[in-house]
Amino acid sequence: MSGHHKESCGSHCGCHTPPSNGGNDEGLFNRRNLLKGAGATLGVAAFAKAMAPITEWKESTSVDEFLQTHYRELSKDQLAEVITRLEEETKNDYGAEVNISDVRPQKGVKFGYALNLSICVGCRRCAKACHEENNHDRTSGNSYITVLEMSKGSMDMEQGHADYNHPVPQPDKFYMPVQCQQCENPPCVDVCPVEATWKEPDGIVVVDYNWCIGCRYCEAACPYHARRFNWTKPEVPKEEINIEQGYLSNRIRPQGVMEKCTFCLHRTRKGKLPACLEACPTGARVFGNLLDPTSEIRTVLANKRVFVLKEELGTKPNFFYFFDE
Amino acid sequence: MQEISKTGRTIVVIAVLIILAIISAVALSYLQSKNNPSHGELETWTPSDSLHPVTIHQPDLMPMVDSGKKDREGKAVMIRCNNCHDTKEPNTLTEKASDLNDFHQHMTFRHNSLKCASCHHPDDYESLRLADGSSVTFSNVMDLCAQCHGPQYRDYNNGSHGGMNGYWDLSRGPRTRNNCVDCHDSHAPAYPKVMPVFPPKTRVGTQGAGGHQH
Repeated sequence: MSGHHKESCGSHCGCHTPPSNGGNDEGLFNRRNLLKGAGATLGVAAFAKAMAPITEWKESTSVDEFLQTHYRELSKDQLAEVITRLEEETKNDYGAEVNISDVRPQKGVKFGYALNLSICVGCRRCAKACHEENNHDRTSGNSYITVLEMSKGSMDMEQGHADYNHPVPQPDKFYMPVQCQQCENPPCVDVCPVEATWKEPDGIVVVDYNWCIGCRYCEAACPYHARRFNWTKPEVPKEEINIEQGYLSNRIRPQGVMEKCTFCLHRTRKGKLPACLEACPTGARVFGNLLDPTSEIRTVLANKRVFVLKEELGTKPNFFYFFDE
Repeated sequence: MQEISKTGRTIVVIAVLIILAIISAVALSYLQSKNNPSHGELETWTPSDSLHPVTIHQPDLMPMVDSGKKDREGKAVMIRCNNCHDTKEPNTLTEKASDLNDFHQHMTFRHNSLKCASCHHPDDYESLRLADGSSVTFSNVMDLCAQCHGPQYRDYNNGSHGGMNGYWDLSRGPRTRNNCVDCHDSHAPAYPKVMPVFPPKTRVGTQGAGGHQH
């Protein structure tokens, strides 16, 4: 190899080029310079594209939001700052003056929900109330509640239909609203890779929307199809926004995070009934404190024929269904 | 000998420093956790003795009947029951609107085999009559319903029948509850069929809940 002439590779491949002294007069437009130019242009474009998230960052994500720590590690002052920032962002994005609270669970309270399948007529008012209460995206018509039309005699929720659109109740059907069952043993919490979802002491499974990375593992893990994903930034007209919001519940969620029913904790932790119960025209829904032996929910559990969905999975729901007769 | 004690002293000093560092780290984390409210003690819920009231919505309007005539503004002219029934002899066997010559013609009765006088007081049509013959006002109609619908009345009292609003925790706020007749028409009490609201738009709605094609 070393014996060969410098300018040639030594084979007959035609790569031999005459010494470049004569090439100077070709100026800028020789092959090498053109390739260099094209490469540089592509490189700059690729670099700009790669940097785009950072240059566009300021609009969607503030540095504070990026650096915000997990809800359970926030001190009181940090949380107050976060809430102020979120309220400002809602004001800027939606034009609504909202009040985001952080209501804590209480000792001696564990929430339970029961639903009377003999009474429910399937009118879907609960799903509508949830949609409005929890500031769901208006375009997708999202709701934490799916009302299933089931054939009498069947208990398999996978066979239910949610898209019925005829007068209800049909004589050969019964109607089963399904929402988060607030499991004692929640599979959605187990699979979260970043601990963005957890079970609170009063039994409610919550999500820190600012910690969630949107991987949707929890959606896949939930046997009750109770979790929802924010495919888009929620669109809610200013005048329809529910301004009483909770950090862990119905504040307007960012795009790309999971959300779920929280038994309206911004209401229930203040002693109020959840929105879906208040909307129910038949009184099929019973809500209360499982640790209070005089509560309505305890009376139902003690006296009615109660069952839970997919008991065999061992999720131990705190949401119960019952029949009158 | 001196060298050994020197090394020993250094080791002791280092050990003491390490122990001090560990103690201060533990103390710091303890202080931090004390400042952090999420790790702090939670407020305890105690059922209070002074409970807010549970109000049952009452039909407080004087019972009226549609005369079938319209006033100048096109509104139906309503007439108090005793306008006619004060002077008319009660027919306790009437059970259908078609049995009557005028009034009540638009009404349909689908309440088992009950006759008008099963519930309406034949001596005072502006009140109701219990099975034992005592009269009860329209606003206390639930006492009348409860005579036959015991299980429903029991469930109502247990909070598992009938819509409500307000607070689950009565120590923090009041609650209002529906009356029987808010949802059930006493003349045709079966809950009517309704069109469902809010049809789902998501994929869950166009397929079965589990995503099966049907």
